[in-house]
Amino acid sequence: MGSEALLFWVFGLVTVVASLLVIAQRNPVYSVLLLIASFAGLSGLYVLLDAPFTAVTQIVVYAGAILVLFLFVVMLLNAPHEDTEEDIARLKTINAATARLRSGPLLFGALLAIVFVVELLWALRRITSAGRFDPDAADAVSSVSAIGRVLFTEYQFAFEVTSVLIIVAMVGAVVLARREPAGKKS
Amino acid sequence: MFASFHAIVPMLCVTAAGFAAMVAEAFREKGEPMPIGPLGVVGLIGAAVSTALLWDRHATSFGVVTADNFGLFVTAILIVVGLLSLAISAPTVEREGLPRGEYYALMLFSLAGMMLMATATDLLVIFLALEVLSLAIYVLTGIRRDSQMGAEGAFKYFLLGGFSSAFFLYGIAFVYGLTGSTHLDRVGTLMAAQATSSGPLQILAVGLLLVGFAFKVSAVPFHMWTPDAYEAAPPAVTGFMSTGVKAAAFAAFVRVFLSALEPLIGGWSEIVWVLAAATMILGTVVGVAQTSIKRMLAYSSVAHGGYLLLALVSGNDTAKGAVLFYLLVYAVTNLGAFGIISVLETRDQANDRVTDYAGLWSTHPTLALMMTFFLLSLGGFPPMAGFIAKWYVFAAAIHAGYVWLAIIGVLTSVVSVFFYLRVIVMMYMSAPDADTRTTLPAVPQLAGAAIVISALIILYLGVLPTRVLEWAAASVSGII
Repeated sequence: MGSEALLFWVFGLVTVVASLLVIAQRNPVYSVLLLIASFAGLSGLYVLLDAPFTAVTQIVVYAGAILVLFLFVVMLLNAPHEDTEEDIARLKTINAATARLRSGPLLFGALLAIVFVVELLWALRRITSAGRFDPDAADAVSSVSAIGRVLFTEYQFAFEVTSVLIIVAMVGAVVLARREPAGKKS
Repeated sequence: MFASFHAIVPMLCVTAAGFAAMVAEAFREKGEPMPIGPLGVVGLIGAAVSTALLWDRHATSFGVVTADNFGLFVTAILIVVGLLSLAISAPTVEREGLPRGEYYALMLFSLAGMMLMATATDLLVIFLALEVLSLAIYVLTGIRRDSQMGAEGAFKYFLLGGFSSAFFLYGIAFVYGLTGSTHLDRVGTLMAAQATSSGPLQILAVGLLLVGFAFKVSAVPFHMWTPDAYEAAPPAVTGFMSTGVKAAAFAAFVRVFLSALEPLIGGWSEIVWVLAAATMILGTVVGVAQTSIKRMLAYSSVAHGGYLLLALVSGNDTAKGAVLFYLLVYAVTNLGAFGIISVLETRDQANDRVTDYAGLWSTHPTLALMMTFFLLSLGGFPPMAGFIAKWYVFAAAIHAGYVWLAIIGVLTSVVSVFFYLRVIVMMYMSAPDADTRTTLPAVPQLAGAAIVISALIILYLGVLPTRVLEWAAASVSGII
């Protein structure tokens, strides 16, 4: 139990700290790299939860494929003079000018976030019945074959709807991103 | 063997029409005219026929989609929304040179998602349907690539929408954690068993789901995106999303909160009470200050969401029937109004300031008359359907003991009449600006027909509402 709890705290800390650092970076490349670290911590947590398949998918799909793509996009878009001193100075003056405008919504948002986190902590602290979850059910869905079986029986319809969702996303991306001005072909 | 497919036939028709639109566009020669919009009409007619055949059959597909009468009534509303939207979209697509196949395909996919959301009985499927319809609508909002405002509105909508989807999903996760199921009737029985010990986790799950729904129906304080997105999108799209999304989201809202989460009603009814009051008041008060008709109708749409929440919090069968009737009336009225805004828009000018409507009576008398009908119906004036719809909502609220909420509703309706009447006065009694008169374009036939049909439906529902009201009332029994 001791080593498992220790691992939980290590992975949890890595995930939380890396996620916080993601939004604190000025350079987007660092943000993406930290996001990979955060996902690695998450997948460690999944392993502790007896969900090795989810953990592997987390690494392969998110850390491996999506974030590498992300990194490419960030690097390609990142103009070399993005983060020079004068840019930062300019941003600071703009920030000062808009600070008063934005402080209201910002405060409101911060307030909502704090309320939400406090509520979450309060709720999670008060859970006493940890035994509500059926451990056999967890075992049943953690193996790859069990996931496959559930996916194509119980969640078959949801699986098919996902294909429509992906089509919509692809069509949408093409519509919004293609180079030729819309309406050339008439 | 095919019996298990029955309940999803309406959305299959619409999805197939969406794919047909995409394929037709792909094989179209440059400059070759091709009736892509009518493909959608064919799909919608297929959906309408199957909806009529499924009525009273209570078909279930895959255990996660139930075509009960409640879902079918909303499907019927969505078919009306789809037909009217296709008709008023045609001139916009032509004028703005929008990518035709993609536009119609996205609209049809989004309609299919809405239908699925209205008939799904599993939280996971509801979430997927929500995503299908939302993604398509984010893109449609920003489909005018040359419009900076379009890009801004679509991006805001996308970011906030993604955020709210995360809340919704988190809520589903908590529900699953509590009950071990995402299926609504199982969630309902297990929640009922736990209702005596309504703990913090239940409250958290309900709260998170509520945030997700409140965003989609643009309830205060989750309405921030509404005016920007509604103003940025082409008016035909605005008409489509303000009515279709509301219908689908409220259908799922009623299904989830008044069946599966009904045992916890003590926990959420006060929150929804506050949401409803804030939504009605803010939508109306801020609406008064608007100078753009689109923004005014956006805030009016927020306020109408508040009236629907008022019905939701009432929670009895009358209220559920009132929600259905209200959604139908609101859909037809708002689509008509946005149809008029859409035909008055030109390539370079939105023509959406209230002052642009000055003297519309002398230049486009029919349009002015139709707009009067729609605005009076939105305000809830007696001969129009909007009056009957509001009447039933308020009656349901009073019946359920929410007298104060009903009073707020009546007062805000009275205030809202001010801004609807302002436009009407402008149309009839102000002289047109010398230069705006010439810029108002001629009305395309198809869109004009759609507008007239909407007005006729409103008059019919306002004068002889009994039959449709009976259908609505009959379709709410046995919601799952």
